[in-house]
Amino acid sequence: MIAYIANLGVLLGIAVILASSLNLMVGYAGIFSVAHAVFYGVGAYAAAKIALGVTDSFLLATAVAMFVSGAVSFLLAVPVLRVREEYFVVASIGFQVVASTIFTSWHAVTGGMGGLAGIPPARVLGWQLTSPVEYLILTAVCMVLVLAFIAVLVKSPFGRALKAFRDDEVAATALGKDPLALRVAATTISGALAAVAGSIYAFHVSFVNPESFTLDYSVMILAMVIIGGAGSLAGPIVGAVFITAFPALLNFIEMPSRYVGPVEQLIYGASIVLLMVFWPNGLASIWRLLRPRRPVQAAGGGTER
Amino acid sequence: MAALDIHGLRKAFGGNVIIPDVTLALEPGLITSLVGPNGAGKTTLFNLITGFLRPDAGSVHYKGSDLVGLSPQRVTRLGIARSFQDLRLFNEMTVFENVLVAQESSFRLWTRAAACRHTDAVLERVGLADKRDTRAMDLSYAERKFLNLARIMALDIDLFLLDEPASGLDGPSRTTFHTLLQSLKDEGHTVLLIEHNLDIVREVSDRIAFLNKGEVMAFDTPERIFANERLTDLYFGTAGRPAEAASC
Amino acid sequence: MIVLFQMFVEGVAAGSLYALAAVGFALIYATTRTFHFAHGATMMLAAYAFYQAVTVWQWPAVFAVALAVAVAVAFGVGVERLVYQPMRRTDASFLTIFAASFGLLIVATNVVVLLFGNSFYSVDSTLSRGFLVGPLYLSWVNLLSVAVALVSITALQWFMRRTRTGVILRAMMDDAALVGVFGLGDRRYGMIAFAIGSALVAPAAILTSLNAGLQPSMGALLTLLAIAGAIVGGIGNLWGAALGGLLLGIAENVGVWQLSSTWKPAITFGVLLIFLMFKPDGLLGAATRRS
Ligand SMILES: Nc1ncnc2c1ncn2[C@@H]1O[C@H](COP(=O)(O)OP(=O)(O)OP(=O)(O)O)[C@@H](O)[C@H]1O
Ligand SMILES: [Mg+2]
Repeated sequence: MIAYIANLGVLLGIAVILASSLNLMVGYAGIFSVAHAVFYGVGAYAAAKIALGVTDSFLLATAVAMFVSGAVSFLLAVPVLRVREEYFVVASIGFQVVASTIFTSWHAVTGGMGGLAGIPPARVLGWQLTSPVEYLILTAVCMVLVLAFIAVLVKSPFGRALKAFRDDEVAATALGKDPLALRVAATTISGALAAVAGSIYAFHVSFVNPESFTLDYSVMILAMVIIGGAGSLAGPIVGAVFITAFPALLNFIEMPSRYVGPVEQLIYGASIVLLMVFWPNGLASIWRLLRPRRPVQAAGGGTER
Repeated sequence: MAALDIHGLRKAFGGNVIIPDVTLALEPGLITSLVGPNGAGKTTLFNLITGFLRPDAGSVHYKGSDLVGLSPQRVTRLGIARSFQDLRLFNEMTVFENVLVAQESSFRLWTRAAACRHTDAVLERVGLADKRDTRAMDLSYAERKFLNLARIMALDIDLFLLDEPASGLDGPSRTTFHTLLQSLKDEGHTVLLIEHNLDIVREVSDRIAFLNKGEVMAFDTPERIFANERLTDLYFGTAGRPAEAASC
Repeated sequence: MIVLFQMFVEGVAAGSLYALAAVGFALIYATTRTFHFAHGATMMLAAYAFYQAVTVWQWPAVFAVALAVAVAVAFGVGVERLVYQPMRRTDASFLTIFAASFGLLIVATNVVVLLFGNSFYSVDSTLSRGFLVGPLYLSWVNLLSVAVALVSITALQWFMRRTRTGVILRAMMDDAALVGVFGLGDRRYGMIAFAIGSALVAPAAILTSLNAGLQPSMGALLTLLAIAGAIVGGIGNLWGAALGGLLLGIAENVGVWQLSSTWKPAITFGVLLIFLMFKPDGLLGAATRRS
């Protein structure tokens, strides 16, 4: 039972890291990406390679994974971010599809459909992790570090510049901000952070294969961000908890097992539609209603838009 | 040397020649007003100078280099900033953040404390210090206009291109605006100001460029321009209706 | 060489169907500025409706086709009316509309999974039989695909040029605000655009189910192909979209000449990525770069 909860906790931590890092792009930089599972996957494969061939040090493997994944997202971002946002969405889907094919077909590196197995347990600063609870602690620490990093980042000049772009791209450009440089930076950081989740995953399940990094999973990560609420720190966390915990809740309802998957998907599809129509700011914005509102200032005449 | 040297600038939108041929040299340290009827191409000229539009022909020289073909952010970093007729504030951000974010894109390296101090000083100058933590979208109209100015004043800038910063301001805020403009001039900045209200133009300008149908009809001191009946006729139209009434 | 030509022929047939989907997507996008990601769901629903009518209820083909078209149009107009229009009225951002559309695709796909299961169905028909022309193997479905696409797209072209509604839709493609100026409002015409765009995927749905069978994932795949086709062709240009769809069909079929067929989607998106990077305006489109 403890092992079950610990495993669920690790998966939740991974989901929070993925959703929060994607939120940097979707919520702050205004880049809609449906390819986040690729960076998660690249991170997992890179960590697995290091663990299998070089060292079982978690820190070293994660550092390499972040570097490789950051580099891949940088290479994707530079040419593709030049196009309009609509097209980036499609380009990211295309990238995901191509990457999935590469994961399954580049046997020499990824082990193809079979993947890479036999990844040794992680070692962190000389301490060998074995039990699920230890992995849970490792995940929690990584998650807190990633969240703290993101929190600091969005309050930094860089984060402010991203928010300025989100509010008014033309004005931000006129103030001397470089749109491409900011977006590329956000995408690269986002990709590198996703690799942290990938590295944890690889060590935790000790085996990686393409099935964990599919388009479906990218959609799920995006759904976490949207359902929770893009552009806030709490949003992706709420969304990750909602989507990860949901299957667990459905277990309590009696239904033939073959219906479980589709019902789950149906519910989160419907949640997205309903939220977007009635509550486009996401679940996390609900608690704002409970907070005392800021006094509303007189709006004054002539708005010019 | 001119602060900004515009030569033979031309722009057409799909066969519609909006700016046929503009040549204009701004004298350093002076306030030049750009006046002309609605649709004369004033905003378009700003867009051409600042890299938001690419001219079909001509050059814009600033400190010895040609700005044509540079991106807007490059132009700003060279020391030219423009404000927008439709303000374009960062509505979700506070007044303080609006100015701070501008300030952070200047090349100077600031410590956090110095950046805040400088930002607060700018807010003090435009009279928005007490609105520091209000969101831009919650400001009054006049406050929004001043925030628009504060944002570009926070940049490290020589040349200000202001697109109707005073339109719609009432008496007292107009005085504040006037003082502000004067202080920019006293610091040695060059200003190119688009303004419809001829009273304001008369009060603040050292030079006036009169733009009509994308051509500079006259470029002279205020006294000489206002003495020219042909121009005042053109501007007010035969019906004598001031253009301000039609502008938005 | 013959093999290559055979693949080319199949590419043209597949590409004709993609062209229909891409034109529908482009029409909806250009007139209503809605990134209708659930476009493939329309196709999937129409395909399953056709399957149900023909195979389970044993309806005559004509009625089954009519049902498929009706389902497609009902779904398209329904989501426009119930989801997109309310969102547009509140000035929802591109991302919000995209997300809702994505949600619709997930909902529709899983409704089909619940009703029909995840397994593969095929529709038996004499049309899927093939015959030899010289060394080439052709099937009626392939010929029909090309013919239906040609007729539909020509009819659409005529409609857009010759009818009042068509002219208004073209005006909306140039400038959606313009329609408001004329006092027409875009509500009715938005629904008309969705009706036509959705109806266009019905033939694609039927012919695909005859040719390749049905599976719930076909919706997502076709959405991607439609959008890719519209982008490769140049978004905002209907005939460009048709050309883009055709090109993708040919590319993915000829492309697997030397590769395993698992590479098909990768080829499609490889072509798309190359276009986005080197010719983002598409074959016939207007500028798509950020200002
Ligand atoms: N991007 C564009 N595409 C097509 N036409 C344009 C574009 N920008 C401006 N114009 C046209 O150029 C002309 C000049 O516009 P501009 O905004 O420069 O006038 P203005 O002098 O600033 O007028 P106002 O006093 O009303 O602000 C107008 O007729 C306008 O319709
Ligand atoms: Mg103007």
